[in-house]
Amino acid sequence: MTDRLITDVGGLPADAVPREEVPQLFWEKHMIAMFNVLWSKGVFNLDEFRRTVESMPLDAYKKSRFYDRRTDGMTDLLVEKGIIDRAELEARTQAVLRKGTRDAD
Amino acid sequence: MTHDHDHDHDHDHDHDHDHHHDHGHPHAHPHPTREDDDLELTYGEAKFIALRAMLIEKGVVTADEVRRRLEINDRAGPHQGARMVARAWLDPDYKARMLGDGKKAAIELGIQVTEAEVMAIENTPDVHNLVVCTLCSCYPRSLLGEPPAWYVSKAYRSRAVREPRKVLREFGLEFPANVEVRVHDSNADLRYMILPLRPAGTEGMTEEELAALVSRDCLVGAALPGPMPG
Repeated sequence: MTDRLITDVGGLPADAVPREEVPQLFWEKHMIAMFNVLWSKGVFNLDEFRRTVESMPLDAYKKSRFYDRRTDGMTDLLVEKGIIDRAELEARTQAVLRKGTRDAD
Repeated sequence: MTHDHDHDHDHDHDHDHDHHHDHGHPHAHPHPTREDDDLELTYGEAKFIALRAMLIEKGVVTADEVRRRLEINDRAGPHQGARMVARAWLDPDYKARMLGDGKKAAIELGIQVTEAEVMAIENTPDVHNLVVCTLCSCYPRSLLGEPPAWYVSKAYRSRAVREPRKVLREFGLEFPANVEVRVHDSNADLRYMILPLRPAGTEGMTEEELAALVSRDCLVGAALPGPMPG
């Protein structure tokens, strides 16, 4: 099955389904809403987003979290389309982390 | 419709003036009552905060658009799918319309549907249906809300199509061999919801009482309708 997409896990062997309820965090919900707005405004479409996930290295995909894949994929598309500069985003992300609060500036 | 006030924590105090109760209160301190704020800021969240700020500055989105969408998403949840099920149990004409076009049937009940297409699939005494999205997480969010963690887990996505009976057993559902188990793989353009079998002994219940029997997991076929435990 070498030609499987990394996301195409249907039928592969796997362990028990984790049944723990994991509540969505506020930022995850907020991020999904922004994703929805960008998508409904036509900034990107769902097929483009899927392509960002499908082109991840397998190892990175396996280790990735669901909501991070959303943020990362959305970022990739915005960079690709020339809307966002990746270096600037990284610098500002680090600034948010240094500040340690949930305010953007 | 009451708001759940999540947007109060949107940190747009510099730009928005619709939060009248925030006036003169510049949020210099964290919100002690918000559970999320007790969690350490992760790289992923910081990246989103920075990305959102950049997109607002560039005018690609506005804070208001995002908040409005958040409020729309907040109105979605399994209670919406449950309303449709209860109506279908009571009204055969509605049921026929729902099985014909799930999206139209949802809109008929005033539910705002953001998905391209929704197909409702009926459980019968002979066929039990289960929904999965093997590729990712396609789910009729307008009618069911955000999918549970187990639905997006790689284990569920992998196994639901190969050994659905075993997976259902883990969820506490066991079907005799003469009941066929069918699995439906959702995708971005077509998302499934299940119309469960109406439980015996529910004759005479009101629509609201019936809707209360329908849990989130019933709507994807991973549980059967029934009273809330306890």
